Amino acid sequence: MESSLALLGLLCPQPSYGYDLKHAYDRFFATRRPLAFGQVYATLSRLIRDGFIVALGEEAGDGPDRKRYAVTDQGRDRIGQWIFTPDPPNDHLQSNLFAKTIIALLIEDDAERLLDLQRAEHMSRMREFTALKREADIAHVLIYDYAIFHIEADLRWIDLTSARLLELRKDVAQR
Amino acid sequence: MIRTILQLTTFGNEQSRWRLAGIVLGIAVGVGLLLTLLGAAQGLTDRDQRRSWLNVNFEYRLDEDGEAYTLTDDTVMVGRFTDYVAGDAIERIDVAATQTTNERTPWGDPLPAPGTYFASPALIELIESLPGEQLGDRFGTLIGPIPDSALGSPDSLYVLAGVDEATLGQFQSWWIQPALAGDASGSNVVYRIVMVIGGIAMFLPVLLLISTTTQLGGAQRAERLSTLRLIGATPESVTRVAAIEMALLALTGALLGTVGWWLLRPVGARFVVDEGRFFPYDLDVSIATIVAIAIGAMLTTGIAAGVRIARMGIGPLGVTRERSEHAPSPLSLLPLLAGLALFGGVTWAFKTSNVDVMLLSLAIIGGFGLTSLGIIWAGPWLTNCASRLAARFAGSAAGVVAASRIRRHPEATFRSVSGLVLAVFTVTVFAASASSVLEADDPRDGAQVFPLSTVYAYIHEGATEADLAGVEREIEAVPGVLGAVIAMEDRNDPGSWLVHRDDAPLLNVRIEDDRAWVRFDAYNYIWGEPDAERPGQPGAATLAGDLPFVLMVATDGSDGVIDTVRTRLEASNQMASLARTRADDIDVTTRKFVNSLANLAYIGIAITILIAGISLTVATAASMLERKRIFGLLRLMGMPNGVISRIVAFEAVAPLVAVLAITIGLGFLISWMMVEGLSYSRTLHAPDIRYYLAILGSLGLAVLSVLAVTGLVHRNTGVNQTRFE
Amino acid sequence: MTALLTRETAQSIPADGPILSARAVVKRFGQTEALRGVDLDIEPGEVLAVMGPSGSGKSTLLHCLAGVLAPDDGSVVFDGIEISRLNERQRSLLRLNRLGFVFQFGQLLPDLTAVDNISVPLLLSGVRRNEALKRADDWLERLGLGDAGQKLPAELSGGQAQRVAVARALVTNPTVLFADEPTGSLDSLAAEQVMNALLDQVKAAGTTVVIITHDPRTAAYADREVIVRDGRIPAGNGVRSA
Ligand SMILES: Nc1ncnc2c1ncn2[C@@H]1O[C@H](COP(=O)(O)OP(=O)(O)OP(=O)(O)O)[C@@H](O)[C@H]1O
Ligand SMILES: [Mg+2]
Repeated sequence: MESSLALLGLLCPQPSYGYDLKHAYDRFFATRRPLAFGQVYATLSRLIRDGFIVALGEEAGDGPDRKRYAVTDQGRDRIGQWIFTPDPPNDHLQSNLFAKTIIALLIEDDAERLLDLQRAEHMSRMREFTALKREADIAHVLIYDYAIFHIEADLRWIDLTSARLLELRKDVAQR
Repeated sequence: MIRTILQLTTFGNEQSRWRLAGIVLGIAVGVGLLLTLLGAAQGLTDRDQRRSWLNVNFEYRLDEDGEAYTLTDDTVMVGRFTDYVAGDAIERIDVAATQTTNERTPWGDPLPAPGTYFASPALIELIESLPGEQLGDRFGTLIGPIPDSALGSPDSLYVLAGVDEATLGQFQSWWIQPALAGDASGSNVVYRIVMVIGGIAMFLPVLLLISTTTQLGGAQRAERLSTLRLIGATPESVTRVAAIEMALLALTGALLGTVGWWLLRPVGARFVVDEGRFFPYDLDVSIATIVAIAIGAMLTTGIAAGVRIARMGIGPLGVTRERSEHAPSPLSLLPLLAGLALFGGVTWAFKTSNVDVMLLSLAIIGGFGLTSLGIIWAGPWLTNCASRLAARFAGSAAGVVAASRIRRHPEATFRSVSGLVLAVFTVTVFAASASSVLEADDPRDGAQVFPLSTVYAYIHEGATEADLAGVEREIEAVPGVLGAVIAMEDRNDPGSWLVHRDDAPLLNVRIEDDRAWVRFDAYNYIWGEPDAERPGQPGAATLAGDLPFVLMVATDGSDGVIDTVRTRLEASNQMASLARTRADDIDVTTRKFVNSLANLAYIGIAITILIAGISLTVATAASMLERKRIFGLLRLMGMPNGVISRIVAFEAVAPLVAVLAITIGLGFLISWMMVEGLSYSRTLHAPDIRYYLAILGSLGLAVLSVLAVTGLVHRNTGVNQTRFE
Repeated sequence: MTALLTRETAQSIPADGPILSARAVVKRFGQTEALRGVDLDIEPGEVLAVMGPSGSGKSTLLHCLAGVLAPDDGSVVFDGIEISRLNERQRSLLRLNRLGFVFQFGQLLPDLTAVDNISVPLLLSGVRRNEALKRADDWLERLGLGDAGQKLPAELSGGQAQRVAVARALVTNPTVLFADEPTGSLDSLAAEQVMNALLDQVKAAGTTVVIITHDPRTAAYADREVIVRDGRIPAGNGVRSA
């Protein structure tokens, strides 16, 4: 995810201070690592430079956290362009796990055990997310769902592969 | 395609084979029953025709000019009597004719000469089994049997005796008519009414049984049909399959029923109906009728099945219309109320005006049919009311499960018991009506009452004192005779008899004062009413013009003595009537009639109750097995074994209890209307023991059926019998 | 021993060690060997997921653990009771008072309203009707079904029906809840609601749960999962190596 576009998007509903912006960002997007203030201001100045936002009149006091930022028309166009451009599906064709499995088969090691270990790892991550999700608010639930479904995809691949091991073994042995 | 569908849905598995067997059997029973009833109706008509010559008719006494016939070569002089022997009634015709008469018997033989007679085979057998002085001597010499074509039944006791004109002329009643013939009377209207009512009562449970078996495994069938729809069967083909399947089954059932009926005809002919058994050929039904019944069964059941499937709306994704029943409304009481109103109306009309007998019997049949249907119609509503009441008080799991089931499916639950309910209704109506006859006419002996053991006959006006003394002497010589008494008729007070005080004790009459003659009311006396002695004017003056009127013979009461006395009296040629006892007048005619009717009815009722019991078992079993999975689940949850029996029992008993009491009440109400309204003197009494047996039998069958179904459900819902996922 | 079959005693004995323990359980159906020596320990209060390919013997294992099927070999001990020694009546009592069951679908009595369905196990164990209905109502509330009490199963959504089934399984406060594919016919959201509701309740009551599932997301609600393959649980998976 591009954090600069996410920050720009958060500014769209109404102008906001840098401080509030960081917290909004953290609430929605930063589940594990909060965004550093420095990174926020660096991004904001880049957005000003590109003409996507403007800093509104400075108020009493000084310093970057006393500035309010608002989005420009150009910025809105950029957001519209971003959200309506579909992302290409991730290309996981040559994942590490696939490679490990093939190698295990080639050196006639216990591929099943490898897959079980990986399953246990995935499951324990999934349990972790499920537990967190049960406590989380709705925005974070979406994030955990996303993660959980991706882990599930891997798990399903692992299940299917372990069901196909016999066939795979024959095939690898023939080559 | 249709063949494939039939193969998949009709003959698919074990349960569907049970269903087929059930339907075929149900239809077979129905067709057999219908043929039996039609045959019996036909038999009654034929019988009426054959015995019509006995109905010698008063209208024959006057010719076209309104003049009385005289005895010529082309007329006969006829006396029509009922004679009695050992408690049996003999239909007797005495016939006198000229020497050169042209008349013949109805079966073509020459008329019997005086002192000779024709008798029916059953009577000939009876005559041969008894000493001549008890029976045979009354008629003279046997010249031949009356052929079957002139007999109502092989058991008929008929005699056609030849007498001379003078002897017959001494009798109180005789007439001259142009031929020995009569009209077929509708003498057995009552039988016909009862048979139609009985037919309705037996037929409805059979229909219910068929409809129940048709629905066996209905859910699975619907599922299969919808699978077939999914893979491309058209709605029409599914409907057509259902119709064709049913029509084929009906044809098979009709064939089976006809064969069964044919084989069982000899059994049917054994039952005593009215005057006796049927001749086997009486119960025959024409081939055309049989074919018509078979075609009718095919068409009605086939169309009904097609319509039902079409209405179920089996789509590719299962049954489209939700099959939960809509709640029955109190409006369903209307047909029942209409039936009762019809009965009430008929009774009222009969009481207040003259109603044609044909119309009356149609109205009674209609009222009965409507009331029966009305009970079936109203049953679900009553059941629903009862289940609501029960649901409120049900505290156990079984109660809650059963009450909810009934509440959601009042029609289905009531249908299970409706056969039994109908059977109970019919038996109540019948038993209560029959009680009015069986109880009322029980003849009894008592003080100041004409003894049952006394034989009497009216004395011919020309009899001289010497003749009578001779008869008296002859009779008193018979062992077992206690004495003979001659009563005089009081001319100043017709209907009163005068008896000498010395004879009074023989007649069970007590005299307090010292009068020489006592006078009493003949009518009441003969009919068994205790009669206080009337204040009379004793003295020779009163007696001078009086004639000997009746000869009374006190006996020890044994059949042999009574019959010997009858024979002597009849053979004496001094009497103006046949000899009879008080019991003859009441007992034999009505009681025998009602008894034979009752026997027949109870046999019908037993069959009906049995059919209803089977129907209950099948329906309960089907409704339980349909919920096999649920019961298995309950058992998995740890439901104790007894709960299933309680659910089964509750579901069968609740509708029975809800409707049975009302049904019995209605049965009594209707027979009360019939008896009090349609007859003049009879009243309702407690029904006889067979009624209670029938009711007990019904309840016993219900219990048996619950037990059987419980066992079945237990075997089919074992926790390791069902897979749960 | 019969005393152990009732709930009251169950709560008074602080369980120590596994509540349910299978050793070398073998179950055959004719030629098929559905279970070929399964060892499994389940700790009190644990939520255990049982996974594995179709036909591997999961349901059979559950039925053996619950005393529905008798194993051909091996033993199943529940709370110190050797289940195979009980007769059918005692096993019924055990299931009624100490075990609960949830299946994939079609387990509610179609003629009974939701609240009546929930009250059935209570009625079966002799609770008075009013009391049973009150408790059933309470459970409806807890599972977020407050307004569905008077509906018939046919009028409930799949998720609601499953929650009613959960309520029915838990209303007797069982020691162990067995669930065979409880979310198998639900979409993700309904499955999540059912699992959340179930977990909220069992965690609060300390109920042990055995869930069979194909769905990793459902399995992720468990504390631990075991995999059944070809009628076996791989060594060290079912039983903690001593
Ligand atoms: N009652 C039975 N009769 C015969 N075979 C059975 C029976 N129950 C189970 N089996 C067999 O035992 C094996 C295990 O069945 P089981 O139902 O336990 O599998 P499962 O793991 O639950 O499968 P699924 O995930 O598809 O539900 C299968 O091969 C099945 O065919
Ligand atoms: Mg399974």
